[in-house]
Amino acid sequence: MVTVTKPEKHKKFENLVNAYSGWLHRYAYWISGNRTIADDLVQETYLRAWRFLDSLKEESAAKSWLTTILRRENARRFERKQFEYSDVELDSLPATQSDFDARPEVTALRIALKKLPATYREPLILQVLEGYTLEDIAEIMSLPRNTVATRLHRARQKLKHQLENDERISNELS
Amino acid sequence: MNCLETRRLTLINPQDSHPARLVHLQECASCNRFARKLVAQDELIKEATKVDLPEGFAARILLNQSLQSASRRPTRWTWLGLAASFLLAIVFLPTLIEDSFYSPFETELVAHVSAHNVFSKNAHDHVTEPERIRQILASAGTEMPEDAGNIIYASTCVIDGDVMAHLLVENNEQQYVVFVMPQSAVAERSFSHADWAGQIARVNNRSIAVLNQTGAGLQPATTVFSEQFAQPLLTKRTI
Repeated sequence: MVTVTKPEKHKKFENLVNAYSGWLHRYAYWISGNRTIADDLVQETYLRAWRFLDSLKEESAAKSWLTTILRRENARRFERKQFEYSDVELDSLPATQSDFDARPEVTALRIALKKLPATYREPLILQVLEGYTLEDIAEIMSLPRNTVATRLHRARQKLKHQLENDERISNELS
Repeated sequence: MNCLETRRLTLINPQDSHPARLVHLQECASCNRFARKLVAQDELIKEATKVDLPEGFAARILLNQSLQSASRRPTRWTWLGLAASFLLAIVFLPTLIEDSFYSPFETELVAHVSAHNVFSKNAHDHVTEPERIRQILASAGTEMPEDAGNIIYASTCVIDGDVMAHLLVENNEQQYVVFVMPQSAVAERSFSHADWAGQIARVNNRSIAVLNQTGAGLQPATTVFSEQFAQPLLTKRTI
């Protein structure tokens, strides 16, 4: 009798794609600064994940595992291109985006986030969007916990200062 | 806890649940205002960082993985596996000859269809959203046809490492199982196996397999479906 081969691995992989490709794409965009690169990073991440899928023992660890892979893929991009994180310029999001929030305070915050150095922006994205703890972020970014705390502290401080310069934002938040 | 420490913890995480911080926030209006601003700022960050997912993104990832697997170079283990298979083939040659009337591909298609048993339930239970059908067809490298009203079930399936669209489609009041296979090099042929009859056709570098249990109307249905699913996917970027 002939059976369909590798169905469990494929099913597991498909579940990972359906569950986390949205988050990974958003994260990739905010660390790479470019939608095309973000697409490629997620594709590369999943190709690597497929190769090492057997090493993922716990489903609950899948998101952090994929996030770490994506981060390493992004680092490889820098190794290949020989440029620094500070060179990253976030491209503009298209105005046609279906759920694009065009409120002035959101636009101002988007601009402020783009101006924020990547080293501060990344832990902030991980914490605010996905609720990662300091320990999780430290593991994903291979940094000491205190360094992550300092970066989050500075990230919010810088954002707050930038936004407070904009009176509209200040009024909205107060 | 004093104001300085409260604000330090709040900047690290406005949702921090440190008991002393929470007590201080209840007692100090200034720090409370400071914390509320940061909580509001975090809420705005969630909105500000939204990025639209490209159309058919998940399907493209699955297709990419499938193509990558298919083009992977053989490793040392592959060669060892082939050698072992060769030895087994010699040992079990008589049995293999007996079973060779049906190629593995046909039997896998039939095994997959039998496992899903899509004819066993009311067809209306399987109606899928047009957007979902479009994504499924995209995963098989095919554009959504202009008239997709005859598709009553659709899913993406993986058979022997290939991602393909698995459809249940109506033609002349009969239902047919249709597999749309991207870049599949399956030769055109008819087959019959385990109560199923089928026909495989080549369309624009892809293969379409059409199956039913009676064998009735297969030829005209295959012609209709070949035209219906002939349009290659127009992607923005090469995968």
